[in-house]
Amino acid sequence: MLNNQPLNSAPLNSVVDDSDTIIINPGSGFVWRWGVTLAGLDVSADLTGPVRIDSTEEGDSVASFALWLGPDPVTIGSYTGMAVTLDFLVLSETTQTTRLFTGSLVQPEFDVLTRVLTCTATTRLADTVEAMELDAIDLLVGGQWSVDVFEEAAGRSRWDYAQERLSTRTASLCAARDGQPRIVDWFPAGIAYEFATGSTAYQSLDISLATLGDTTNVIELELDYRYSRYRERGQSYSWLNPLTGGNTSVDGFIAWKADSSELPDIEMVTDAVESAGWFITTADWFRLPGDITTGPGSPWYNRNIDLLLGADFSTAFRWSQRAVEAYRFRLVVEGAVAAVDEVITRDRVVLDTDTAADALWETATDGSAAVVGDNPIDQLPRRDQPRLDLAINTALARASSQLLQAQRGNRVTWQVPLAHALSVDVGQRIKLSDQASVTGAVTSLTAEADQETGSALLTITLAVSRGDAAAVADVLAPPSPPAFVDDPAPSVNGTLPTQLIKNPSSPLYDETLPGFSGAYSIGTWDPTNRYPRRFAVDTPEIPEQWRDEITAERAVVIRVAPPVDVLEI
Amino acid sequence: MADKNATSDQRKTEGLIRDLIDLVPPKRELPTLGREEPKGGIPRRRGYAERNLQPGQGGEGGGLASPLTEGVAADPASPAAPVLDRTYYPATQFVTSDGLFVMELEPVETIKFRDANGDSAEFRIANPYAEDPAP
Repeated sequence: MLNNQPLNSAPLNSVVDDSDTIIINPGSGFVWRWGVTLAGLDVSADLTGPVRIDSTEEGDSVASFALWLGPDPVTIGSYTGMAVTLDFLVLSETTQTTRLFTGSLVQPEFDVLTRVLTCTATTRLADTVEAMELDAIDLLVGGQWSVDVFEEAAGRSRWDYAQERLSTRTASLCAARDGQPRIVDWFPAGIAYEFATGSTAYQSLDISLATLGDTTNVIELELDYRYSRYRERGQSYSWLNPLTGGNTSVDGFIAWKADSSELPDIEMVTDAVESAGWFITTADWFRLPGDITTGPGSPWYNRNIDLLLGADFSTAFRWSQRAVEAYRFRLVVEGAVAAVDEVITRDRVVLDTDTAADALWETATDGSAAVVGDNPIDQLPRRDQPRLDLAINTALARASSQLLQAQRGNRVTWQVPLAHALSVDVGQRIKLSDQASVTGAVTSLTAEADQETGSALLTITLAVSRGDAAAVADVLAPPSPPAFVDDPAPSVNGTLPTQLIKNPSSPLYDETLPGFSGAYSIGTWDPTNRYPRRFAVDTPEIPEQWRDEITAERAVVIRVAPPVDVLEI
Repeated sequence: MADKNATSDQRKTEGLIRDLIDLVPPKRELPTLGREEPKGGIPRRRGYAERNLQPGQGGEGGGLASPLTEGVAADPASPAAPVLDRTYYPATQFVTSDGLFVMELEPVETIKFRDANGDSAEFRIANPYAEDPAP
């Protein structure tokens, strides 16, 4: 939401409802006095010298005043911490009372000679917030918060936590006139007050422009998200004893039986695969049949049905790879860059995961990386989109808010008679139409009134946002993740050959060939040349690019459009 | 009086400094990811299993693993001691040609062995004198 409108529902600041604007015209003189209470007791009569109340959009309001305590003995130590209220009373037939300050005495100072107690009172915002529960702070401050952008909230200062949440909003936390914490928007909708010609104090208008170095107009935000990718490479193999004539039905068995050879068994195939660090996922075994007493193939007696005439089996290898999604956001106020060139601020957020669970994946031969269930490997820490989204949204909101703040560094100050503008408060949008044409939000107010001289003035400070009416604001949202690109997969031939020795003219054993080697059941080979009965598979290479940390980058430019205020002298 | 003011000023200064420190946000070190050690690739590998005795295969080796040792099982008390594990045919009498001496012998009928794998095996030996008509 921005200005009570959903984001992007309308151009920024397009809805300015002036109908509620109160015009402040030059006013007449007035009679007034301060009303002061200390710990609930009215001490207005003891007031001596001026009273000053400073309220700002960020942080505490501070009031300072002095009391003459009279000649009676006083317990000076008990003043610290006393509740203070300050009212401004405009006296006429009906006295109009306006509460301007509620707080506590933080640093009373007593002058023994003059018996004057100089009082400084603040709204003790930090103490109030520190005493709040996190839920209450969330409710009060709003905004966004991610443990990856900030740090674990437990055990830390609640005030810091509130500031962190606040940093993601275009708003400030300050104390209201009743002393309670409140949020004031930097860009309120609607102009609350317009100061008409002649309403400001003579020669009080002052303009203070922001220093160039403070007007950040580009934020380079880097956000790295590292996690483990749980990877699996598959490889299928196929082997068939050639003496079957390539036939995988019972006819293949009959053909083999007529001129038989040694055979591998399931255990050999499994052991061969596992000795390479891989494992079998699925297998279709062409077993040597058990006893056949009638029909094709009979008679046949065999108890070793794990012996194989052929096999089609799939194998897999698992590993984990550390992967970094590197997001490179560039938030830019285009108009400001065009005007004053780039003023860059950098920010960086990292999200990391630990690798403790990686071994679970690397050693498991069941489950899949995509499934979440009860199996231990299903509990693997996976890429966590909600966590990433929260971190990105929080970091973008903070950066955007930082830019908008930097673009409202111009300040306009003027004074008005206090009684004419008692309702003007911090966080209101105000239009000045006297000596200059200015709009902006009130960032600070200083009320200063001295009963002895009769002067009662309010100093109003506006922050003027420097925007471009034609500027386009992009939505702050997580982009689609970058893709990791693998080097091409090295391949192996999954069709496994066979070498069987039969007679002295059989070729010499070739140990480089994978697949099965052995001997015919009946043959005339030289015993020294006999082939070993063995099964071998060649597993494909896993390239280092698949295993070493991999980074994929996504660069995003986000345009930020500050609201438009008027500043014409 | 001067001292008291000094104390008071001192306190104000300290307060001011504290407030200023509170105002300045702590300088955040920009975080970075720790370095990962490269894992390296895994080269093409040969998975290999060799079993020179095929279960159930007749012919060569016959499923027996040399050497054969007499006795289905070794004597647990002294494994190295010879174990006789034989059965015999009924006794046969041999008479010397002069008829002076008669020897009685029991030809071996079966000898039981254990092979290198501990499986038992049995030799069944024919009786060379079975064809002889009983005297």
